Amino acid sequence: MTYRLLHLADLHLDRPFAQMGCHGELARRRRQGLREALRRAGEAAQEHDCDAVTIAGDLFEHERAGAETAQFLVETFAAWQPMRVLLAPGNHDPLVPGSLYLRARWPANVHLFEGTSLEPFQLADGLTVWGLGHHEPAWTGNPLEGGLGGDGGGRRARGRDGIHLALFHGAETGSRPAEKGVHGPFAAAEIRERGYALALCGHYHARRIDLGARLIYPGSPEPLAFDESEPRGPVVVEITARGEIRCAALDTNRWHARIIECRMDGVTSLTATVDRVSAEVLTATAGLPLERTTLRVDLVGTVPPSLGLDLFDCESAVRDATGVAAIRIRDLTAHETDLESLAQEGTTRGAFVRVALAELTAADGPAAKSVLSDALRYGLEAFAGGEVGLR
Amino acid sequence: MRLERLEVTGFGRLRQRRFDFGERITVVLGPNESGKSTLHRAIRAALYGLEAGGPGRPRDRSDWARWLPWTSGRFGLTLTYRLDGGRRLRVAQTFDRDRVQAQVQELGGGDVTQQFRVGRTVCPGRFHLGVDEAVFCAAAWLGEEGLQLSSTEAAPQQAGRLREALERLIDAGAEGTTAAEATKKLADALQRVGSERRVTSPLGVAIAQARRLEGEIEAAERRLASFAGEEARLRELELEARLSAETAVAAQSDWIRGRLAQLDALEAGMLMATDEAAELSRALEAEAAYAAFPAESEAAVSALGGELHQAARAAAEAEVRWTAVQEPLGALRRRRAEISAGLQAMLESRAIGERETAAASTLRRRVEVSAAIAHRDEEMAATARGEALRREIAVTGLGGVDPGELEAVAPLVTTARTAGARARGAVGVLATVAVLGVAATGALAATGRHGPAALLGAGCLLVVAALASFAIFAFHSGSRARSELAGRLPGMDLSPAGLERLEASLPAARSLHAESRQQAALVEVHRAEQMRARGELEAAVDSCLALARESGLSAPARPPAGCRVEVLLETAAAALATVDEAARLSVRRRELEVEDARLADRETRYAELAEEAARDRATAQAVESRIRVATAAAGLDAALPPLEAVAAFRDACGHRREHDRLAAGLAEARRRQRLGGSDIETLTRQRTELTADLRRRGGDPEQAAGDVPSDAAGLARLEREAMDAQDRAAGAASAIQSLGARIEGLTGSLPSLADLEDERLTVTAARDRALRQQEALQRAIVMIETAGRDVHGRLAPRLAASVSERLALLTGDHYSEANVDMDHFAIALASADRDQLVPLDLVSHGTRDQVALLLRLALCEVLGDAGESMPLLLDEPLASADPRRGRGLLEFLAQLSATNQVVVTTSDPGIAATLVGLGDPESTAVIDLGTSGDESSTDVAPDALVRAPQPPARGLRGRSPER
Repeated sequence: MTYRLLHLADLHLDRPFAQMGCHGELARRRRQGLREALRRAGEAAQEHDCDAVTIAGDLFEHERAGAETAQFLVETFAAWQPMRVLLAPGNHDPLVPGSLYLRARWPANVHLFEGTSLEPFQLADGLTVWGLGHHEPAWTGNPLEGGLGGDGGGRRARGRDGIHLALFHGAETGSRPAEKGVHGPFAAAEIRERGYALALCGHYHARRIDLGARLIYPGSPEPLAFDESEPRGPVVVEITARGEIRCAALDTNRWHARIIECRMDGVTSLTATVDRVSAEVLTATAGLPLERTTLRVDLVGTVPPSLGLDLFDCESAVRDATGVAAIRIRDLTAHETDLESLAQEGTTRGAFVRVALAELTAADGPAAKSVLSDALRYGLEAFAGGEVGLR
Repeated sequence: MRLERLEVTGFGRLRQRRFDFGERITVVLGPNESGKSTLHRAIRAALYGLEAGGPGRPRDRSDWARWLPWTSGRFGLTLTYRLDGGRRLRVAQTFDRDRVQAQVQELGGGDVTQQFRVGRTVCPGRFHLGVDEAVFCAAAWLGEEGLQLSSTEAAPQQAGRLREALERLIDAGAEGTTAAEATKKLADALQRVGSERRVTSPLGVAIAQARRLEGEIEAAERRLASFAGEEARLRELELEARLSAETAVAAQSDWIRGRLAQLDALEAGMLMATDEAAELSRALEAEAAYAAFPAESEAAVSALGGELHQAARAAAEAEVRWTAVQEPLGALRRRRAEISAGLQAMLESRAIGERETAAASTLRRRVEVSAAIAHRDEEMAATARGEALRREIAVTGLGGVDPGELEAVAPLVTTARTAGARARGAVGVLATVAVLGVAATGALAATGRHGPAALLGAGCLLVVAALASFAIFAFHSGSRARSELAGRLPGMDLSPAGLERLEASLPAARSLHAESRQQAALVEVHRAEQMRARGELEAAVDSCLALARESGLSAPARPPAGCRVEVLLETAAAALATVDEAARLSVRRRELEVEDARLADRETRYAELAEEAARDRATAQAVESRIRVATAAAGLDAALPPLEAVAAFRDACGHRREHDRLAAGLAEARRRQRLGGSDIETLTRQRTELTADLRRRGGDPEQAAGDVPSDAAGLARLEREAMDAQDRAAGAASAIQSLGARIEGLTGSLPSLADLEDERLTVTAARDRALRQQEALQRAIVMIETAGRDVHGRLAPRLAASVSERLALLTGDHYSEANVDMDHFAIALASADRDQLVPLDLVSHGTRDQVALLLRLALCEVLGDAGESMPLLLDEPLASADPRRGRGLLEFLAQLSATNQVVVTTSDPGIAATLVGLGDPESTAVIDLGTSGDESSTDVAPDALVRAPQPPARGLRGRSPER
């Protein structure tokens, strides 16, 4: 008999979206979008005739999730009955005192993995899911320790019958993105060594289906940062009676995110800037629903000191011109001016550049350097005679 | 720097032309559109390159496009120039569309292009002159507007514009704004950012909103925490209700099980008590004979039995000990009799103590020491050694001579022995001298030299006489010595041989005499020691005799005085032997007394053993009597031995106790029979009812009831527990109902923390951004102000000095000094006619023009700092000037050319002629662009032009071309 389950993770219900340029009504729409993503996942599971839904942590954000979210989850999961729902808390929704997991009255089809090491749950005859829950926001233990392999590794595992899956929130060390926190680190090779047919994981927001390594990261169902631009959604996992595993990723996201780069060479005015950025935005978002698209635009290249860009004005103008839901602009341009040549000038401007560069060199920490870099830029813009653009 | 030659391949309208420049002045003459400005621009392009567009700047709008050759062909030029230090260089710039390159060649040297490269541009002007192209244009490349000569503005406006231009150049070069304007722009931006105090400004709004949101979020978090607490409380209540209900059911089940166990136990107890009572009745009848036996006396009788046992054993042991000492007691008594007889025999001897014994030992050692000294023979040995020495002295032949005489005789012997020899030696020499003198005198006389012969003869006579006197004196000394020796040592052989022996034996005789004296002294010492030892020996003998007498012993008589030492020793030994014997007897008596005392003590202990044996026998007999009395009173056989009687008494007491126990058991069994108060049927009915109740509560009646109490107190406790749990469950259910309703009501009204946090993140981001902008703008303002103060403060005095230096020279000391204001470069001049500084707007047009030009040159110097003199390129400077001002400026330029090369373009031949006339013909050149031809370097004859006054002979201090 073939067993199907739908795996998802990192939904991050009740997440703030200010860092993506969303606030007010737009941010609420984005959060509502996350709930809809969960409902759509349930519908997809029913469409694909799945027997269970596995959720590998970061279902919600503990600091902000309240009773309404608990009620939503309870009602949603109850509506999926008799489909089983297996929950493995992660670092954003750990099983700390006061956790929603512990306050909610879960329906009977929900099973919460509360142990700090993998513990079994018999999903069907011959199919066991081993899961665990994070009990602290910064847990750094190896999630694969204990559980099926136990201390004896694969020897004990070989003694057990049936198919064993692991469900947890953890960081596979071989593919960890640089900025991602190390919560529940593990090596992909351990999955096979400990006798699991597949590890259903959460934590990384990019989708990764690696049946060779027996590892699945479904990614976040909706983009939560500008760099999460690829299609996303849950993964349907099919396990045959002979232990064969097949996976199918579902692209169910309704929201979109992009990072685009816009060269500013030759631009000399705010109007030209807005025109150029708008053109780039429209090119990059062709075919996307603009009202559900958020972007970050990095301005690069060289600009004359006389061009003082006020980024806030620029963002507003581009948003109005293109109709995208949210936009963030980062000014990474450099002045055309050769600072070294300027510093050699005997003028006040030269002296200013020398003072600024000296302070910049002596500055301690990125914040101080950023302020001084801006001060240098503002000063050169002022000397160029144009209006100083606020960065 | 001095420009020497410009060769244009193609540049604007100029093509294939060569221009040679004058050492000091070059006048470029030609009508409009003849290429005068193009020539100036070409010089600039040679020194700084040509801007050819770039990112954001189309090429077709660049300088490159503007100066493309009008006709097809190559685009480029070559400039040859000489530096103040004498180096000559040639820069070739090629601006072809497909090939832009430059090369700088040092004439007489190599390619130095790389020294002048900035990025892709080769710009030697920047390196030689020290200023970039913009400053060069603003300061040294001047058109009519640059000198302000045609301006219709009033003097204050002109001065202000000059000041502003200067400030702009110093602050940001030719294209920027002044530091003050830049600061103003930054202040405007700061105004846009706002501040916390301005609540309507972006920063003020952001800060206020952030504070508001912090408060709202805090309140929301409190509400959510409170709500979470109530939810948790609800879960706790639910758990409590469930647990209480479970506890109640468990307690009730346990009570039923306990009660069932109790009923079972009750029934079993009733049946068992009946059987037990029958059994006990039978046993009680068998023990009825002992019902009145005095068991209360058992302890006393048993104690007597034990006492008797111990007394009998003690008596037997005492008897054994007494029997064992009979034989030693007899031997002991015999020994005491012997000791008593011995002591009786020693009663007459005198007792000697330890003091006397110690005194005898001391005296014995004194006697031995004194005897040893008295017996020593060292005196005799010393006497014998003295005798031997006297014999050795006699052998030397000087035995009869007093040792004192020997000291006096020694020099006499030496004199007597050596005087003869000295006299004979002197006579020998005398004879020789006489013979030789006579012979020599004779020989001299024979040769007729009578004078020398007489002198020699006289000399020889003197020598002979002296030797004769010596010989006589020696002979008399020896005779006197021998006479004295004969007197002192009569009979001594005084011949020369005798004297030699005497002289040889004298040291030995003196040595032996000294040793003989030492031996004699030694004999005296030994003799004195022996005398003292004898005295001590006699005193010791007296002490021995006195000790014997003091000890009450019979001492020998004292030997007579002067007796032999051996007699003294014998007397002392006899006295001390008497004392020793008496001491030995005293010791023996003390030993016997000690032994007797020890034996007497032992005899006393033997007597105590006899008394103890008798006492123990009496005690045992008394205990036997008491036992007989007690057993007889209990009715036991009086003939029984005491210990058997005690055993029989105790056995009878055991029967009495068994009788009592059976009686009590029978009573208890009968009590239990009566205890249930119900019959078996009643118990069975109750059990059936309880079993059914237990089954209703999910319990198993077959389960063993060992873990629950079945006694009344335990069952009562279980009953109380069940009731308490039921009460708790009911209370929790009630609380659940009210709390659930409350939570239900609150759920819809809870704040969305995510919404608030989104808003806060947005606002705090805006606030942080504004604060960062504010800080950066403020830092920029501070840095510009600092830089401005520094640069202005540094440059203003240098500008003033530079202008002053030239101004005094060029105005004939009319204006001796210029002052440049540090803040905004307002210029004032010190005049010889006035006490106070004259602002620039109050000086004449001509002076203002000159100051303007000097300021620009000074600026090049202070900004450049390269040390090279800047060539001045003036494009139609006098196009609209009135003749008088024009003439004045031309004179000024002529004088200035002494330090800075001047290249002036004009379309007016009169101006050209005037300028040439003012300059040095050898160092002035005119380029006439109106003349056709490939090479148009044309010298204009000075005579054809109006002569101008010659420049002052003196050079400008520090600005000579040699620099």
